[in-house]
Amino acid sequence: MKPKALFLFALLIGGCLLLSGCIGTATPMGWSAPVMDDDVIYVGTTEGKVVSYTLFSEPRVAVEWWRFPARSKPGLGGGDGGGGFLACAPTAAAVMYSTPFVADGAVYIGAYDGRVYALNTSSRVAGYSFPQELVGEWVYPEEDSIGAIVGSPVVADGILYIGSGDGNLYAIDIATGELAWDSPFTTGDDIWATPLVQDGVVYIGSFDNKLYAIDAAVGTAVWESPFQTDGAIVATPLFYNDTIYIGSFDRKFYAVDTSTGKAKEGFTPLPADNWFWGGAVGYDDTIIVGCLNGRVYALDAETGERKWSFPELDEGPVGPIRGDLALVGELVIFGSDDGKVYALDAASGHLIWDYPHGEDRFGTIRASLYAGDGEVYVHDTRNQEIYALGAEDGNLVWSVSTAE
Amino acid sequence: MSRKRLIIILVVGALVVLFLTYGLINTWNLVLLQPMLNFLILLSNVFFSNFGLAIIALVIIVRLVMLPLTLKQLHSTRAMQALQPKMKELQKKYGKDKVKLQPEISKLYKESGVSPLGCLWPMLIQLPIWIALYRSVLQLAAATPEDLMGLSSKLYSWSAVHHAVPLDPNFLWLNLAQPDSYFILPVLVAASMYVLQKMSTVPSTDPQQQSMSKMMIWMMPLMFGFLTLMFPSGLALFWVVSNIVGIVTQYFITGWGSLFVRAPARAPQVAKEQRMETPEGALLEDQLATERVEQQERVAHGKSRDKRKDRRRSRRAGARKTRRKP
Repeated sequence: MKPKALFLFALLIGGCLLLSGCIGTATPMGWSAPVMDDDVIYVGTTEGKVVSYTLFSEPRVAVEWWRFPARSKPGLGGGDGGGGFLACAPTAAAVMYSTPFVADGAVYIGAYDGRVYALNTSSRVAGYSFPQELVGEWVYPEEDSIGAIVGSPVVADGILYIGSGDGNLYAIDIATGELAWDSPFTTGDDIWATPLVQDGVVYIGSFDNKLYAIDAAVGTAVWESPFQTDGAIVATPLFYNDTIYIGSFDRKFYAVDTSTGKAKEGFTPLPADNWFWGGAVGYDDTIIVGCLNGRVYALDAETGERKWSFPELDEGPVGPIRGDLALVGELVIFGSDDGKVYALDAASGHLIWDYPHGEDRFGTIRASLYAGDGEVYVHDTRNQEIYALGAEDGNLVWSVSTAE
Repeated sequence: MSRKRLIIILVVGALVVLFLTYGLINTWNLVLLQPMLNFLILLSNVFFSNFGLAIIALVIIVRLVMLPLTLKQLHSTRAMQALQPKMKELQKKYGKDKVKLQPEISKLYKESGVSPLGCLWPMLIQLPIWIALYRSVLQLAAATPEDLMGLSSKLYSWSAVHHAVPLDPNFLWLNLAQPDSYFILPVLVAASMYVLQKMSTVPSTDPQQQSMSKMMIWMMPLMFGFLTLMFPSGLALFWVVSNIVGIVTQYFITGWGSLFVRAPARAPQVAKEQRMETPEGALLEDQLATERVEQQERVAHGKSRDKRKDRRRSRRAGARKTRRKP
């Protein structure tokens, strides 16, 4: 082959590798879920910001209230809020996977840059510089980071609990922004899960395939040994009838005795053909959980026997279900990667409504849904929109863009 | 019909059926990407859950499996290079008369048993395999939660595979999901690629080809070194190992090749045709061309000058002297 042709061919190969390397790898978008507190919606955006919207009754609309960091400033942890051309290294992006936790006028969130932020609503509305320590604003750690944060924070009794990519579970005093325990609780691998705090115990899963129970006050292990599975655990545990229910990347769904940390007697773990990522809900002695195989399963809480599945096993699945399910009255509502929101009867698994109707689709719905005030709030991260659907009929009530 | 042709027809036929049934992307996933990806995960299990060692092992295995194709490609390239002087003679003889030139070139190929596509087909067959390996490394680095979620649909239902994911991205000083923050790998990628290129390039007497080769020898390493700055270091590791294996393979075929050979000095600014008209000029041209080839062979095989070549050269010089006499 002539050198010129070889040279051009080599350039073509280099170009193909460049494009195939960057195109096709997932652009980090985040999947922060919206939460509502006192008629205000809070959400982390795909640009690495925390935004709040005030809900008005007549007409029923959502209007942006404040945004942190402010418009025209870079998002938390990044530059332009996205990978950008040739920026195949994902840490260049400012995104939010964490869902905000709101308590007493403060908003707590973990960012992908590995820091936990405490925001005071009044200060953010006034546009003061951050942090305003006198009103309880802080960032932890002040310098450096604790590893990428994918799970969400939980606040209980004045302590914020959050896991991070460095494999540690942190307990932070929300009044001071300092560590509440002598040292973080260390697991064997990254923590992407959101913790559950119940009766003074923090339950959290890790990439080391284990579920831990930790004393919320002092940060020491409660069980003799953590509950072991054969795959990573990223789901939020469900506490129901003194039992912890949790799914794993080993494609099984488990029930764990909270007093011993062992598998619940009489409960047969549910096998599926893909990972369990989202959290489950409990309804009338039934545990309902979604799976990345595009199905929702309802199990007997005592035996694990399958009561129903949606879609039925002889039907094709919907898209992967990553987010937590939402329970609204007798309806189980969830979003799917196929761009639809589904509402099922919790007792029978029958489809009550789906939205958008027909062949229309949102973008992928990976964020958990939030239900409140008779509405369900959906964060479509691909299209950078928040939708509010009527919980009973699935009709669109309002929508607002999260983009700048 | 030969067995080789039959196999080719069967393989192409199967691929066409798959394309029509599943579409191009799903066929690609089914035939190449998923097997490569799952095999890489299994290898990491073998190598103590070490993703870096698994990448190194898989690159070596794939290189060994494709060695016959690589050798075929190298031999074809060298054979083509060896034909260049005769091609030049034909071009000089027939000028721009393509009607007469083309059949003569085809005849030359046929007589020498070289196919102009001989160096291209092995490369084209290897290309999708390398892209699949490259994409597997990228996907398994699972740098973002979205990457990890996307991985779930590509895994086989083997427990050993699901048990291993997500893979530990730490290897030596590297986080395989992130670019090398110490810039060691970009330098290694560029250097190893430079060495491989230099070893495999046959110097040409044509000044135009010389400058093109020289540009490629520098541009490709610099380009890949630059790309490595931005890509996850798992990919950079893949490139370095691939280049090193390529260097070893090349050494056993051609030795060090042109690695330690300087580019030949440019001839004095006298038209070549004018030089060839004089007996001394023709002798000089002939001697220069022979010396370059001999120098390369000396370096490659570490042998002293072949006395038979000396005799041949003297004989040629004598014949030319005889021919050129008015």
